[in-house]
Amino acid sequence: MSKTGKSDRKKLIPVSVRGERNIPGCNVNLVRCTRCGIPETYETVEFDEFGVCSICLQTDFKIAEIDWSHRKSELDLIIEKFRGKSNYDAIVPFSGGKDSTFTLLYLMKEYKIRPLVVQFDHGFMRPNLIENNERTFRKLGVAVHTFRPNWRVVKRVMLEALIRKGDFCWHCHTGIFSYPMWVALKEKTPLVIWGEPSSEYTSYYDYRDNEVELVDEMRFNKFTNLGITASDMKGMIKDGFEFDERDLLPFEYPPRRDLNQLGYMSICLGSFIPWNAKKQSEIISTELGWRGDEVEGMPKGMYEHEKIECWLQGCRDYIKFLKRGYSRVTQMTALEIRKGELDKAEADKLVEEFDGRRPPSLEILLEYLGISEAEFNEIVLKTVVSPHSPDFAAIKEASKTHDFDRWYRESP
Amino acid sequence: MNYFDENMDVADVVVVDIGISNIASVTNSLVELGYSPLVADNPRGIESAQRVILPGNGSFRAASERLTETGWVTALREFAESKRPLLGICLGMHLLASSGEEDGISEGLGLIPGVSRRLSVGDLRLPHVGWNTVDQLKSHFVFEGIKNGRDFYFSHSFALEPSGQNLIIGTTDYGNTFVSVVGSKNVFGVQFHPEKSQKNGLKLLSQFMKWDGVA
Amino acid sequence: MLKKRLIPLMLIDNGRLIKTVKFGASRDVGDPVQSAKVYSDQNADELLILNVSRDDRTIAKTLEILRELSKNCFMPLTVGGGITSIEDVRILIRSGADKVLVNSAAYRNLDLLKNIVREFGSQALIIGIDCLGEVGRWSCLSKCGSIVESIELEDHLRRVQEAGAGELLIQSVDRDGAMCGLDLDLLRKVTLCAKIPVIGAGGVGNYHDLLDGYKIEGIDAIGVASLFHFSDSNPHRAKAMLQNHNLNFKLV
Repeated sequence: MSKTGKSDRKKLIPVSVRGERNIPGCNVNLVRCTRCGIPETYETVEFDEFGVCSICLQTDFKIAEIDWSHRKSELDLIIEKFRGKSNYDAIVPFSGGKDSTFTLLYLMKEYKIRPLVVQFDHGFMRPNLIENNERTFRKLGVAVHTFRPNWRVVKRVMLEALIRKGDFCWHCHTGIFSYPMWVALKEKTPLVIWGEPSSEYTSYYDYRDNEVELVDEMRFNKFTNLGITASDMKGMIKDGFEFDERDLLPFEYPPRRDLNQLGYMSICLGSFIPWNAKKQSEIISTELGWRGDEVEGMPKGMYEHEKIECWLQGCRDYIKFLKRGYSRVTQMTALEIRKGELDKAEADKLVEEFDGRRPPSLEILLEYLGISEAEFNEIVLKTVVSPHSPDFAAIKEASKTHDFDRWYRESP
Repeated sequence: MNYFDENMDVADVVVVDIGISNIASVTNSLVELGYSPLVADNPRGIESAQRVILPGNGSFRAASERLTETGWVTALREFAESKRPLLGICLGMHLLASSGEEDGISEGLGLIPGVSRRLSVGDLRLPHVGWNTVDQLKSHFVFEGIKNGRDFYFSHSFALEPSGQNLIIGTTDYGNTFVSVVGSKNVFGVQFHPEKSQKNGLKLLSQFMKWDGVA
Repeated sequence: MLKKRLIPLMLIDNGRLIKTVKFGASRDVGDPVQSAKVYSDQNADELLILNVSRDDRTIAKTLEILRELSKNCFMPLTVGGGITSIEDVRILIRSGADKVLVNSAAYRNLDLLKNIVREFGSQALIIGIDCLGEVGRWSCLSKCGSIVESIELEDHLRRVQEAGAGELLIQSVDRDGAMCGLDLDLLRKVTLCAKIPVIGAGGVGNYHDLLDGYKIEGIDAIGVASLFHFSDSNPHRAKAMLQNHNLNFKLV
C-alpha cells in the first residue's frame, strides 16, 4: 500500500517490463521494484499496486510537486537569521565526499558564510580523499575541526555492532551525526547544515509529506544509530574489556535540552535545493579539482564519484549483499533509472555482472576485529533479512583498488 | 508538577485528578510542550484556571460517584459556564455526557447531551484497544494541523452517544461507527488518548492549549 | 479500522535491559530509558516493560525507570513483573503506566484482578501467561518460568477472563530468544478460547515470523524482543515489510 494512495501519479519515468535478476550468490525470488530493481529487503521500501517502490514515487513527487523556489527562499531567511550571531555562521559537518564538499562550496559561494567545518575522522580515510580535502580547505579558506576517536574502543564497538546488527559502522554512523552537535554546543553555533536528505534513498522521511527533514535526535534514533545508543553500548561491551566510558561520548547525541537552549536548527541543504548528485560532482570537480576514485566491487570507470571516502566501503557493500541480496551496483543503477539516465535492461546486466563481490579489504577488516572469515560469515548469517539467503559458494571476487597497499594494517 | 496551592497564580492549565487515572502521562506531555500544568485534587483548584483537562480511565459509575461526593460536579459545570476551554479525555469525555450506563445508570456532567453506552461491535473483541482512525467530520481549531484519517490510540469498551449530530466532530470505525470526538461551545471531548498518541496527540494537546474556547 | 500493533518487549534486570534465552541465560541489550526513546522514534506502537529479575521482585526499580521513561515516551506503556497488590498497581498507574501486566499473581489471587478491573477498568489489565510444551500439552509457568502450575491452560484462560482481564500476553518459554518463529499452534489455541485481544510473543526471528503471527484471527498484536536486539531491524522497517503484505499499521 503506498503512503498516499494517490492513483494520479505523473509517470515521468517509463515503466519497463518487470524481469528477474540473476545475481551470483543471491536468492532469485526476491520481489523487486518494477522500475528501479531494488528488492523487498531494502530498508523501509514499500511497493504500490503497480510494483513501484516508495523511493521511485518520492522521486517523482520531488521532481514534479515541490516548490523549490519557495524552499530556497526559506533557506535564505534561515541563513540570515543566524549570520554573525555567534562564533561561526554555521557548522558544516564534512566527510569530503561529493555531498559535503558540494554543500560547503555552495554555502560559501551562494551565501558567503563563515562556517566551521567539522570532520569526524572514522579512521579509514583513503589517500585520494585526504588530497581532495586539502585542496578544498585551502581553496575555500575555511576553519576546520577534525576529531579522531580512540581506535581501541572503535575496534571493540565495531565488533559488537557487527554481532548485534550485522553492521560494523556504528561508530561512524553515530560519530558523524552526534559529534558535530557537541561542537555546535561548544562553539555556541546553532545552525548546522548537512547535505543530502535521507528521502533521496529511504522512506523514513518522505518528500510527499512535504515536511522539511530535521537532522535531530529523532532521526538519529530512527535509523542512524541502528537502534543502539552510547549508553546501550556501554553495557554491551563492558564484559572483559577495560575502557573509560568517556570514550563513548562522541557517539552519544547531546541532551535535547541543551540543544534547545542553544536554539539549534539542524537541516539538510537538499531539503531546500533539488539534489542532483551527478551534476554536483561535476561542479566540485571543475571548481575545486575534486577527484573521484575507484571503489572495490564497482564496475571500473563507473560511479567513481560515490562512496570514495572509506577504505572499508567494499566490506560494507559486501555485508549488505550477504544480508539483503543487493548492493551498491543495484543502488547506483536504481538512482540512474529514476533520473531517466539508464534503462532497466542495462541496469540488470550491470547488476548481474558486478553486484555482490567479495572485497579484498575483508582481510583487513577481519584483522581489526580479530576474527576469522568463518566466524565473520556465521555472525553475518544471523542478521540476514528474510526471504533472502546468501550462497557463499557462488560469490565472486572483486579486484584490489590502486591504493590497497596504503591502507592501515595492524602489525602482527 | 504541583498540586493546588491557594497562593498559586493563574495556571495555564489545570489537570483534574479524581484519583483514578494515569495523570503522569497527561502532565508529562504538557511539560514536553513547554507548559507548566497544575494538578488539582480538589475542586477549588480550577476556579482560576485558564483551561482544564479532565482525564480518566475506568468505570463511569465509580467516577460519577467520586465527582458527586467531592463537589467536582458543581465546580466543573461552573467552569464550563465561564466559557473557558474544557477538554475531556476518554472516561473524562464520557463524564461530560448526561449519563452513563456502565453498571447501572449514573449521572454525568450534562455538558455534552448524550449517553455513555457499551460499544456494539458484533463479533469483534472488547475492549477496543490499539490504534484506530479518526475521521474528522467537521473542522475545529483543536484539530487544526492534523491531517484527516490519521490514527490515535484507543483503550475503552464504552462510547458516548451524543443526542445531536451537531455535537459530533469525529468518528471511528470498530465493528460499527462510533463517535470519537465531540464538541459543544467551549467543551471538547476525545475518546482516544492524545497523551499516548505520539506526534498527532501532542499536536492536539498543543492546539487545545492555544484554543480560546470559541467553537 | 483497528490497526495491528507491533510491541517491543523491554525486559529489565537490575536497571538494564536484558534479553533471555528460554527465560534463562541473559545478555545486556541496553539502557531502558534511552531504548524507549529510540523505540518511540522508530514508530513502535506501544511498549511493554517487564521486570524479569529473579532477585528483586519488588516494583521499586521498575518504578524508577518508568518515571524517567514516561517523560519521553508518549505512547502506551504497560508495566509488569512482581505485581502482587492493588497498591503496586495504583502507584504504577499514577507514575505513567497505562496498563499493568500480572502473571504469577493471577494463579492464586483472582481478587487482585477483580480489584484492578473495578478500580481502573478492564483495559488497564493484561494477564501474562508463559507456556511451555507442545500441541495439546502446554503447561503454564509462573515466577519467570521457574514454577509449573497445575491448572490447565483453558481453565486459567477462562478464570482470568471472568475476572475481567482486558488483554492477554501469551509467551512461549521454549521459543524465547530462539528466533525460530512463534508457537503458532499455541496462539491459535488461545485465540479460540479467548474473547479478548491476544498479544503473541516468544520466538520472532524475522519479519516473516511476524507475518505468520498476524495471520491468526485474534492476534492483533505481537511482542518482539530479540528481533530488534540481534538483527538489523527496527519497528519502522518491520512495518514497511508487513505493509507490503497488506497488513495495516497506524498512520501518524
